[in-house]
Amino acid sequence: MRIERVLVPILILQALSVFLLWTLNSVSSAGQDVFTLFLAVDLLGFVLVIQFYRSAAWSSVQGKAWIVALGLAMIAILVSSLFVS
Amino acid sequence: MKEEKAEKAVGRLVGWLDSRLGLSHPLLRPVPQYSINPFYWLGALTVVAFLIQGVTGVIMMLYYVPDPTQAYSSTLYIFQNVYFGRFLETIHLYTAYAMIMLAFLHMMRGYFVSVHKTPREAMWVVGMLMGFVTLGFGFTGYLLPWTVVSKSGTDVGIGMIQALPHPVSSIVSFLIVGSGGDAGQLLRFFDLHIVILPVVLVSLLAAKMYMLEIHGISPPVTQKGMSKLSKVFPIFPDVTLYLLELAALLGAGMLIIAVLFPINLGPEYSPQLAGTITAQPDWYFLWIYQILKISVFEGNNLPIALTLVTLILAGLVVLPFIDRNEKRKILERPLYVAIGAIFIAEIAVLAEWGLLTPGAIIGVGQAVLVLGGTAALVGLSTLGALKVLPHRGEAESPKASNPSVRTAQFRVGVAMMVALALGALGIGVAIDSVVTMAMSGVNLLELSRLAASLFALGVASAFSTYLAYRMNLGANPIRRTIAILELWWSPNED
Repeated sequence: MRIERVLVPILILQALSVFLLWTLNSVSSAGQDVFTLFLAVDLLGFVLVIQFYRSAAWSSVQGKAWIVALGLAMIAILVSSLFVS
Repeated sequence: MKEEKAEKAVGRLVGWLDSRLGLSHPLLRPVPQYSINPFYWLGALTVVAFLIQGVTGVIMMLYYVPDPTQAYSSTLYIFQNVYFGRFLETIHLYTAYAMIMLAFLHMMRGYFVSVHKTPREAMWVVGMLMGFVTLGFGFTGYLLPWTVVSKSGTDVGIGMIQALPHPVSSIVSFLIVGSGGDAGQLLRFFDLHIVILPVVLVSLLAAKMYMLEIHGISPPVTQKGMSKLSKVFPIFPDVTLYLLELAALLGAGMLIIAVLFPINLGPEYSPQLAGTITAQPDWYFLWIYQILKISVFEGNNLPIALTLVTLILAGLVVLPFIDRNEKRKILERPLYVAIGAIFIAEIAVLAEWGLLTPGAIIGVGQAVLVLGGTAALVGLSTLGALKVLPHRGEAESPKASNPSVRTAQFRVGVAMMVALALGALGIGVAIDSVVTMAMSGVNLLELSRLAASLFALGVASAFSTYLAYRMNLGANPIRRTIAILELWWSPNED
């Protein structure tokens, strides 16, 4: 798989999500918690991007389990943000 | 076709950045492959935590008023009214904690893998000074919210400083407390926190980076690392991206912790309210606080305890000039590794103990039992583990690579650890019995405890010696004796 096919959409999504984060109610406690969790997801997405890059550029197979764990962690954090009140 | 276009777009972007910023001609030297490991980047992560604190701190500084009458209300204002205010406060606090913890881990990792040895002695000293500045950040920043807990805790710390011997206490008091009362003290702490300490830390960091460029990253201490000596990665983009990856993981961890454990601003400081609570310093100073609470150091003897703490810290600074042996591998430095393990364990035990017993005076016997027992347990266990662990050469021999041999080694190793732990417990109880009898007179109960603990110690010693024989370790006379006993015990085996 060409690395750019994964990198470019992820980076666009990240930029979009960071922009959207600023539309949250940033004074309320819940709003700040959601912002914090979304920011964490963005950072984990960034880690994922670098993992893909390293797999291609360093010609080394990064642990698949690690990439899957990162993806699951992102989903878990996104789901948990639904329960922040 | 699309793929090629995307590739060209990325390539053009990288090329543009490189041509303008000269990223492919970096100031920093390439990094060897063996150092692509998070343990090598603990110092860099400490700097990342410092940068996060810098950004969040500058934003909060726009709202904070360093005056006792407004410090608390301005902090509360940040919490309640500023956009992302609570987020900023929480992240600032947790990254401060992370910075202290990462700096400590960086130091201890360096200690265990001998980064302080020739030619990196000066780097170690500068690193230690950076560690003290990091603690200074914690100490000065703790006061700023002006809550009853933070002001009272800081007063405990100032009390410690003022109990130091005369010239030192006067100089330090002048530097950090001044003579302007609460207002002067708060302003001085604020100035230290946002100007002086950052300038000092950045200067020390520049000095350390300069020395790092001269000496390079310390060589590996494992065979696996030695096999990766030849391959290097450029600082940009490879190592930069790797560091960004680690930084993003640290950031994500901090954010999740911030949501799971939100902080709340306690009540505002007032002398009346301060009288109703038991003052304690923040967690990273609890170990010192607990040492000072040992009854023998109460009153006029407080300077002795403070001198002891100062000597421990000074010992860490001058470590490269004490530990001058050229051996760098962990298995070749059992004494220093055991001392390092004891140091970590004592700090942890003292901090936890201090947290659980705020304000309580600790008896000498209790202190000797807990601290002596911890030292004996951890020290003996570490020495035992280092003895039992297969040396690199042995581990790579066909015999050791045999799964059944490795399983047997593992089992005997576990048994050795249990034996050593039992022995350490025996030592601890024996010490406690002796101290108790020294303080309150000889009695049957304590004599029985002493006898039982010595018996346990004897059993543990015999058992561990036997295990050492089974592991093919130990001196020849002991091995010969055990071999004779073993033959006597099972004469039909042959």
